[in-house]
Amino acid sequence: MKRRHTFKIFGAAMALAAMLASPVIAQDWTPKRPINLIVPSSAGGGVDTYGRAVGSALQEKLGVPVVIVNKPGAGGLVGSAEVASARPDGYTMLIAASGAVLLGSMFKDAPIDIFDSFETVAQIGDLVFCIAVPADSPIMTATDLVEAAMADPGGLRWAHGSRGSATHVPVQSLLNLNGISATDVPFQGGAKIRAAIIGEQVDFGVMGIQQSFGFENELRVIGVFSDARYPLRPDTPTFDEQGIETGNIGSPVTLYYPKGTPSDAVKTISAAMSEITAMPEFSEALASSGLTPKYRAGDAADAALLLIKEKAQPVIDELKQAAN
Amino acid sequence: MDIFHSLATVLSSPALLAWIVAAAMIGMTVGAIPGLTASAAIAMLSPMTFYMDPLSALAFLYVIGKSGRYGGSVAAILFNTPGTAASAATQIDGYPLAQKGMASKAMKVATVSSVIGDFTGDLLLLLAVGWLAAIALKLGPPELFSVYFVAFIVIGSVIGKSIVKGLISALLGVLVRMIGLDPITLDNRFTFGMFELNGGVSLISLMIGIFVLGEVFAQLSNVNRPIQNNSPSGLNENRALNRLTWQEYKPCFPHVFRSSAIGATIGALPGLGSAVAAFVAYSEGKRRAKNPDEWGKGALEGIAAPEAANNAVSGPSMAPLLILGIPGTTIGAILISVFLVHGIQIGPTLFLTSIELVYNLFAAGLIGIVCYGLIGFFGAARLGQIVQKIPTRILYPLIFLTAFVSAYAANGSLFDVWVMLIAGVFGWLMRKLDFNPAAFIISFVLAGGAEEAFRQSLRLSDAGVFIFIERPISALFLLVGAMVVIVRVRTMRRDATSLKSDRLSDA
Repeated sequence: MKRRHTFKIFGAAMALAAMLASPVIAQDWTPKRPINLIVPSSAGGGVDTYGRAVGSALQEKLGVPVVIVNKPGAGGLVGSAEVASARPDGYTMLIAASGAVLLGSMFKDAPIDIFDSFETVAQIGDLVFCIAVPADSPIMTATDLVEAAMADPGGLRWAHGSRGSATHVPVQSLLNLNGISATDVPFQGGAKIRAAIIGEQVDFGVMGIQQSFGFENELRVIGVFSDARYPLRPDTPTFDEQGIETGNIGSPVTLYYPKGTPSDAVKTISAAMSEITAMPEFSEALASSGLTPKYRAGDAADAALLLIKEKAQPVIDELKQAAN
Repeated sequence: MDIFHSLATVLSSPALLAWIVAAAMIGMTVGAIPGLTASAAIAMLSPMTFYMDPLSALAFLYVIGKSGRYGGSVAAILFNTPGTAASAATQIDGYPLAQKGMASKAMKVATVSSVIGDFTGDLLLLLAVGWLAAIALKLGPPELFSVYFVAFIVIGSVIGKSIVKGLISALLGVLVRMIGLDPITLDNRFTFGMFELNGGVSLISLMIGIFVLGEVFAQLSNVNRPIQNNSPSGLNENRALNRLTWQEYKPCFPHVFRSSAIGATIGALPGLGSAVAAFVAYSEGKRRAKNPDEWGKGALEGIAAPEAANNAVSGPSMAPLLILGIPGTTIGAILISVFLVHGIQIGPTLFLTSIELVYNLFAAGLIGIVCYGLIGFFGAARLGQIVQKIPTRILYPLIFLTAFVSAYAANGSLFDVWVMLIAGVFGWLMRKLDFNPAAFIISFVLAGGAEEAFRQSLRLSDAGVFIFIERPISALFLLVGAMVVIVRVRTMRRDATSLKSDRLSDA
């Protein structure tokens, strides 16, 4: 009896300790030297903006320098592959448009698997895409677009970043789900897509919604690939609310550690990011580039990404089939 | 006017001014060192500028380009070796003057002419650029391709002494550019299963390899020598003889203005560059000169004409670069990557997003001209003396090391260092076998955009290749290209017949 009592107390103490311990362990990992945060794209893009905002906020929180290292190439796969093979000691981290990296690795053979090669730290942002048309275009709404494409199968021309990328797949998904077709024209980079739309080279184009900011007179956003309106553009309707099914494929922006990184390091950064993404200063830093924070802890981030994978799979399969 | 506001902005920033002055000095120095060009220096220094603010970074490199084009004249006049290809024409009259003990006077003429040419080019750019940008918004892939087409035609017609070797060099440039992912279908091309090649060959590594390592390898054969020994009379010269008077410079003015116009026109066409401008201006100047017999024996006009032209290229060459995103020169191609690194997308929308930066950059360019003008007018001879004394066994190992650091730093990639090394051996072989490294690089630079524009056009077109004729502006550019071919063929025929008659008269 007495023994049982002791056991109970012991058990309760253990539970209490565990309860207390989880935040304690999370704070336990204190980095002792600079952390390299790899951005697998050139400076200046959406992911880079996130990276710099995260870098300066983490630096303040952790008390060690966070060094931003841009490693562009192959749609983010070069930098991602480098982090995947880095020493898992907590001092090399990746910030990537995980949706873009995922789609890239689904479309072409890649040396990494975004689900298997990393420890997911947390999702900290979201790249949301939209369709825009030239300012003088007769297409006013998403429905107009679908009707125009239906009237002239394959006749409309549209601009995206590159095949199988995070700009191509959402639109292709829209076309497939609505049984319409149009001719795609790859333009490298958001600015070129934007110029092609403004110059009426194409009938419509897809871009990160933040890239339409400041061009309200030159082009018109007719729909957003998201289940909710974009916080910084509350007047722009989503495709969902216009009754056009798209699959809402976007690209989360996620922090990753190499596989095998100690879990206390992962937890410390994840907890820090949970606080940072709630800070108004962080939101403001992003808002000046048209971006917004979005926090999901590791498991939730993986689940959201898996959903994107499921929705993109048929589109990618069809693209691959068409290529062969 | 935006430009006055920008001038005030630039002048009120001491840090930016310091970068501009540094750039003017660096540009002059590398220009004055035979074998090192402004574009090589820019390729090596561009990774450093990734850590500067965008305006300082761009202004720094832009001014190096300007003063480097001018600095070449120092070596041309003093050492009878062109510091850059652009100053080869300056040598024709510059060295004879130096032999007469008038090196400083020749350098003063070169400085004044370069400054006037550069200013004229920049003014034309400033006047035209806003207007051009408005038009450019309506230009699409078909028009871009036609501009690239003209660029390739004109490169082909100025390719150098050996047409066959020049064409092979250009073709190799195109071939190397094809390495990587296909721009439309994303198929791997010439990647040989190497994942790192998916992104293509890095321009900065390639340029450092071809222009810097290639040169260092070539210099290995003459190690312990200082840069040049054939300087006449040391530079202990007569001050009175070297004073440049207004009366002496006056006859140069018509040449300077004509050459500036030639340089500006050639600069606005992608693919040609300073060297071509200088030679065209020199031969045009000589043809129209009142004293053609003196040209080649030390005529001041013979320095003024090419120097004004090679610097007048600088400003207008920014027009296709900024407005259309078409790099007209190797310097331009590197500037594109620097714009990108700082998150600035060039092309017609640049004038909607970053108009202020563009004008500030132009203002920095104008101030840069004043800087190298002053430094050059009073210090070119001193600089020549210093460059002359640097032993190559110290200079080239330093450059060799810097090349490695720069190639790595550009993308933080060891693979790029290998690319640079291979390109270095390749560049050395090209020099040795009389191929044309400049044609190789400029074809490499132009081929990517040209292919992309061509294939995008075909996807936009309902009528296949006829889209290039259907669009009026595109058709116009194609017509220009066709005319260049016709003119070229005619002059070649005329040259051939005159050569024949020469031979006949010899016989």
